[in-house]
Amino acid sequence: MYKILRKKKLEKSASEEKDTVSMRTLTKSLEKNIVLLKNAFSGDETVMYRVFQNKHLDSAKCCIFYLDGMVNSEIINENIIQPILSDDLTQNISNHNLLDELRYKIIVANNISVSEDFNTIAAALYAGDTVFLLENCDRVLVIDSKGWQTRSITEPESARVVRGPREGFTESIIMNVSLIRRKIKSHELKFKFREIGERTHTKVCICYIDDIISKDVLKELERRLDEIKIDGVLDSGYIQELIRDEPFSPLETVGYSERPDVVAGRLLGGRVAVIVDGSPVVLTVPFVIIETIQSNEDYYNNYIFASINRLFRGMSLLLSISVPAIFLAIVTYHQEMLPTPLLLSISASREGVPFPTVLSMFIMLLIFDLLREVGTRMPTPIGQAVNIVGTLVLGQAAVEARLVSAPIVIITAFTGIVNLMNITFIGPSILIRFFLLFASAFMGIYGFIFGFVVTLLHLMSLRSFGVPYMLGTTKIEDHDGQDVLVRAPWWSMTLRPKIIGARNLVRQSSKNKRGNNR
Amino acid sequence: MRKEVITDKEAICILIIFIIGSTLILGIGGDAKNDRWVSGVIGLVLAIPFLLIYARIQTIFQGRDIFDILIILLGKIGGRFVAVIYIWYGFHLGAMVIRNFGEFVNVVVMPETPMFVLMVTIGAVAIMAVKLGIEVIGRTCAYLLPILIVIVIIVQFLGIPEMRTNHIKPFFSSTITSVLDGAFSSFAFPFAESVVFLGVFFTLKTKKSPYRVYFYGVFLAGLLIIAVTIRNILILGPLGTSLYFPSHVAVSRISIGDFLQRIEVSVAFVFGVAALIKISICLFVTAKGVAKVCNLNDYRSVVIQLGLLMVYFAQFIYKDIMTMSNWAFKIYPFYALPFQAILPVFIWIMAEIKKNKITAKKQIA
Repeated sequence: MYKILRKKKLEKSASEEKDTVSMRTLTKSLEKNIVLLKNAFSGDETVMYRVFQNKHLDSAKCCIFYLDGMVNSEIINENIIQPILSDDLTQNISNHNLLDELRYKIIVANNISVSEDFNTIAAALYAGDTVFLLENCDRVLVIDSKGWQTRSITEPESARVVRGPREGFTESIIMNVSLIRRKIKSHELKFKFREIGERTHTKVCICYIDDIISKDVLKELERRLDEIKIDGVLDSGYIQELIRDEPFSPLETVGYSERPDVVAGRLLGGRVAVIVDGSPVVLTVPFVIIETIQSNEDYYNNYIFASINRLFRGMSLLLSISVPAIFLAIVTYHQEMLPTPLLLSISASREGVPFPTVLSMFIMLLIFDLLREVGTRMPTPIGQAVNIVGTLVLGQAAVEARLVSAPIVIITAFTGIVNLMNITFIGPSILIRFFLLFASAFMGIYGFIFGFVVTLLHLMSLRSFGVPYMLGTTKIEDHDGQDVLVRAPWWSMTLRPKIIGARNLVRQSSKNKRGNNR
Repeated sequence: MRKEVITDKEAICILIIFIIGSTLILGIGGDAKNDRWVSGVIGLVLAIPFLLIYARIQTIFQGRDIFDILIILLGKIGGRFVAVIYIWYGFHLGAMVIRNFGEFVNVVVMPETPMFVLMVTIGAVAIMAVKLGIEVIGRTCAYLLPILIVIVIIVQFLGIPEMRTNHIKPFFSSTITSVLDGAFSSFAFPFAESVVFLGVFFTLKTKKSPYRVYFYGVFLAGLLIIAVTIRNILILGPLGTSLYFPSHVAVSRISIGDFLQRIEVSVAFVFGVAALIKISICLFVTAKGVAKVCNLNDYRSVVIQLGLLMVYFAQFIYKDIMTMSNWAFKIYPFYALPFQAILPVFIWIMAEIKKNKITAKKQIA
């Protein structure tokens, strides 16, 4: 309901804006044009203008508009103002088409265009270009003079590697595009730009390798991007949520990464990337669940070591959702499964604990997630205090005070730690873990089994841009399964996964196969 | 709506899980004592001609489910009438499996929990599965089957220390009638229950697949069941016949190094998953049939109602576990005969005649 209301409101305001804009047309008089632009941007004091004149030619009276802080003032001073001020414009210049003469012969800029439409001018101004007005001319020049401060390329905090490239995306879309381009120097690598956001006019770039991707995925992605009508896009998270399949599922169906090498790898695997201006996180579709446990380092390290690490990650994913539930089921319903000494020690530690196992387990897991969230939000210097409170007060003291039993603290800590191994899976795993926990509390191991099957059914029913979410997990015989639970050696991965990179299957010529060349 | 398609592999997986469904836990062969495995083998062999018939019917009418086939063969009214009989079979079978599960958990693990709660839970999961569609069930089965088989094999090996070869000897000690009785019973439950899949395999892609799927599926499942039966006989000996849940007791005997003990939960896992899939398939076929007979656009609109009815039906279908066991081995084979053997044969003969007519017409034209 809210969505519909907001949409209507948006449309209304957009149409109003258009009415006022249509009256803003440029005239021949410089004075009037300056007044027009000044009025249009009144209230915005970052809009700067400067009027100047050539010392030889009086008719070359002009004015530039630019946004303070968005432009490189060196470019404006040396390439626009200086030539026009000091050059002798009377020579070699015919007077009747002064604007084009200036454009072609005088102004030094790599990108320059002529415009008379107010909207284009405003958009260019906001993008950091300089608008150049001339006396007796109802057209203006839009001169590229962008220059604002950006963050330098650093390794992303959220995904560090021991081995592999250390660069990460930044907030500037052009820099991100160049980072990808530097990895894939093929003419088949395409970048398509568009603007999303009625007010923010955020640049969004679709990036893909033309002869690998499936056209259906690209078409579907473009359709979904076209359908987005939102006032602002501040991060790629907005786009991620607006284009995803299965909007009610807790699982992510759109992948993301902060690393150019990861995105380049996925592009080579037949994915489409979506780069959003202002966000160092680049989206990739289609996304399958196995990408949660894949790491870029897998491909740079020895394949046996990498496979072991990946198996650990897969195992930790399973354990983080199921350990509390299995523990609860066994301790409360199937005690006979435990060897007697273990059973005795567990029941001894439960002595005097007032809460039922399920309740204390639930509370402890909740507290762990609370602490995790506190850990990410708080300023670094306070970290020590939280650590001490978390470990000592909530762990040790709670056991000593007989509020919870020691095994529960151990299980909680274990679950919490393995959960952190797959950072992208933290969100869904909280929900699945509690779901399985309650299923176990309800019906013991049968509850767990049913909860597990329900989760599995849900996973199996998911699709990301037409690709099954569990792709590759049900078969290992052909090339689809080479890069799933283990990472096969590079010399054996000659083909791409079939469903995603269907049009151009060959990844490397089979000559590289072991035995042929060594 | 997208047309649902399952691959041959997924279909085989569903079929295997369906057949081992309640059989692994209830056992096969009835009275044949230590020759129950022979009954199993004979039952499997008996099932071959019928598997051929099912596969043939499905091949003639590729892409159509049994209700469509009946309506084509017997006309709108007659076809619907026979379709109702098959709907009833699917419905009843599903209810029986729900009850099997309820009795098992109630007797073995949770005597204090009302059985109805257990049955509603498994019914609810089955409803969810069917609502997601056969394709999702197929993919889930392809994922689950390896896990189930690995569990069965591991348990098989762990059971070796408890096995006594003298339990199975002498071969053919029981009377030939009791062996054949057992064979008939194991033909009807579980092998020929695959007739239900006439309502599922319309989703297969190619014409050849029904043969492949039926044979691989039933044979692999038969192999598993016979292996488990032999294990149970070897571990339990003469005791096995008098137990309701022989697998469960056999596995509970396993104890390795005082640490790995009482691993019945493994049986519970296999049974829970397999029963769930079996119920889902029965519910799917029932819902599909009701939708066809009542001319509904989508079977999904009747899934919840039918699923809940199935659970209620399971609640009063048997008085107690003794009735259930008696029914499963003594009465069920005769009750199921029309659905599993007589009607399919008729359908097959009519299908062949009809097919000849159609081809003849085509040739004239």
